[in-house]
Amino acid sequence: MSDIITGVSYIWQPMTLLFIFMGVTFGVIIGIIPAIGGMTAMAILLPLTYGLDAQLAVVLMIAALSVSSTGGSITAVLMNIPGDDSNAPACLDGFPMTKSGHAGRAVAIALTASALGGLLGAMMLALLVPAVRPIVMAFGAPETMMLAVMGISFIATLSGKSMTKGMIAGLIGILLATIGYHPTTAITRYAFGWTYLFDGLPIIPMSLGMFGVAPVAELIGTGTSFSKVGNLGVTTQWSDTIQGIKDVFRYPWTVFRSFVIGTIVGILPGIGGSAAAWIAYGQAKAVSKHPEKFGTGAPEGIVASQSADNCERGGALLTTLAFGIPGSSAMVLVLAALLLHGVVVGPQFLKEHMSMAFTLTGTLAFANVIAAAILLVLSRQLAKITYIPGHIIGPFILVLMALGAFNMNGQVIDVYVTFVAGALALIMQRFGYSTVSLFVGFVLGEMTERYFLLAWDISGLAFLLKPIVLVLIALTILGTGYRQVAALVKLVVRMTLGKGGVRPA
Amino acid sequence: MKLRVIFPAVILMVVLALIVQTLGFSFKSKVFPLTMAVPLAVLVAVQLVRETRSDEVIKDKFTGRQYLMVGLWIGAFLLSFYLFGFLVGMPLFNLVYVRLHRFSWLKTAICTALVAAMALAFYFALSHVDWYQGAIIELIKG
Repeated sequence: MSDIITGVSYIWQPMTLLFIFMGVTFGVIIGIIPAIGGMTAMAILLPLTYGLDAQLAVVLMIAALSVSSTGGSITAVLMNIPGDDSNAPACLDGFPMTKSGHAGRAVAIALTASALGGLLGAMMLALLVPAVRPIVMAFGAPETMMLAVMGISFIATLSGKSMTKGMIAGLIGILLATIGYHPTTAITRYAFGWTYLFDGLPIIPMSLGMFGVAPVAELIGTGTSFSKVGNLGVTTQWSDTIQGIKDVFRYPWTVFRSFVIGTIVGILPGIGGSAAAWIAYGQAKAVSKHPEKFGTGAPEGIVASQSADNCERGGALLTTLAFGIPGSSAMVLVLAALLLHGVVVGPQFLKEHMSMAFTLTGTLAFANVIAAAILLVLSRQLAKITYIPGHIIGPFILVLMALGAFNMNGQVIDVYVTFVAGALALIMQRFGYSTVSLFVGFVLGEMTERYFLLAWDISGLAFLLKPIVLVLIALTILGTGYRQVAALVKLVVRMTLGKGGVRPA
Repeated sequence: MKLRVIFPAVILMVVLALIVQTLGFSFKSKVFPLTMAVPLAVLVAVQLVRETRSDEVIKDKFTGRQYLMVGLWIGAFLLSFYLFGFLVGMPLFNLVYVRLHRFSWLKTAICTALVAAMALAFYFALSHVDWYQGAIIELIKG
């Protein structure tokens, strides 16, 4: 108890508050810029923390990391450009809302869901610190592979009008993910001797191309602004923002499911926020009463993906502190910062620095609330971006995309790859193939293959009979065929009990 | 030939070529791609047959001229980037694009200055990266 009081009271010291505020500001700005995600934020901050006190250094980094995705959701919603790859699902419903004149509401949904996800993630982090070990130990390669398969299975629900076309797009995405070095044999596949492809197609240019080029093409082709309906005075009113905040609380079960998905994905090393956001989005669509509204501006879609994404940070921090296993790539640098300041993580950390664990938990929660509050105040101004004429903002976004693509590795070729991916997205959309399905396959394909081979090496196909794998298989079937399973159960109940649910005499 | 037949036809050819190439890999390297590529080939073949028989009209959000304009402008952007790099090519493209769409010189100048400022901000923030200066500068430098 004293650890909790000591840890939380540290947050309220003026210097700590200042560092949280600085981290939040930095994280939001970094998040808004396409392709610069939490990883880059951590990389920039790490050398700057060298002279600082260990606790302040990590507070600064955690504050920035926890809100980088929140910043990225703004460009995803307003311009269809994901600030980070984990913001891509927010484009699907956020951008159609913007186009229909509800930019302020869509931004408010994204921000509130992000803050709520972050808060729940932090609470879970505080609760799970003593109990996390058995959970992590229970998830080996077979279970992790099945989790990835679960994500991929949602391609079926994300397919749009034609499931065949959706499956084709998803399989193309998975095959694109197999380009480059094989995860265990190190043989290069489909690279055709081109060294650029040896490490596989880069994810940032792919996401920028898949989601960013099409709306820019529309701006350039038509010259109109992003928002084509409504007028500026009406759609940037406070009532629109307040409606967005209310929308999030209309879907408590969606938030809860996303929270569970985000926490599990966060705890498991090497999966990341992108998978959490996509699995949560697919799950929300699969069980929604109105799945047909997803992709056309359904608030539920934004709620699901953003809350899962921010919730994932709590889980990732948990394994980093409790075991010294970074839950995500960005957490590697948090780990580095702790080691740099002489703080050894792992079970020993929880014995010696329990109060610091609670400080970081509080920082995670507090940073999310501050970021959402600041951005909600600014949301009406941000929404006005969507009324700038297409011929003004179009080239500006082209430049932003090119800079974002180049920034990742400092390679010019990434800029060209972005636009090749964009051309592919335009062709696919023209003929009714889902670019979302392709991207889900692309994101989760490599992970599925890696863990499949590991599981195969350990126990052959017998890995499919492990209890957690069986539960995940059942959840996958339930998730994708929820409606069919529900109809089947209804039919069986009716047949057993007779019409009207009354057991025949 | 219907335009929409071309996409599945091209995909089918690429996937068949990939399957042939994959057969030459070791078992571990080929098991996953083949598991994905074979059903993909079947699905694409089914879709190809459907497309050849279908009379459904796809509603297009762009006219042919708009497609051409989009292609030309994005092509011009990439050419400007290739020739002049980030710091010159991007503001230059913005200047030409905004001005040719009949915005005033003042608006054009403001937009161009903003783009230049953004490129410069990235340049200073990412000083560790070797910035591309464009084919012309690189040619002059030798």
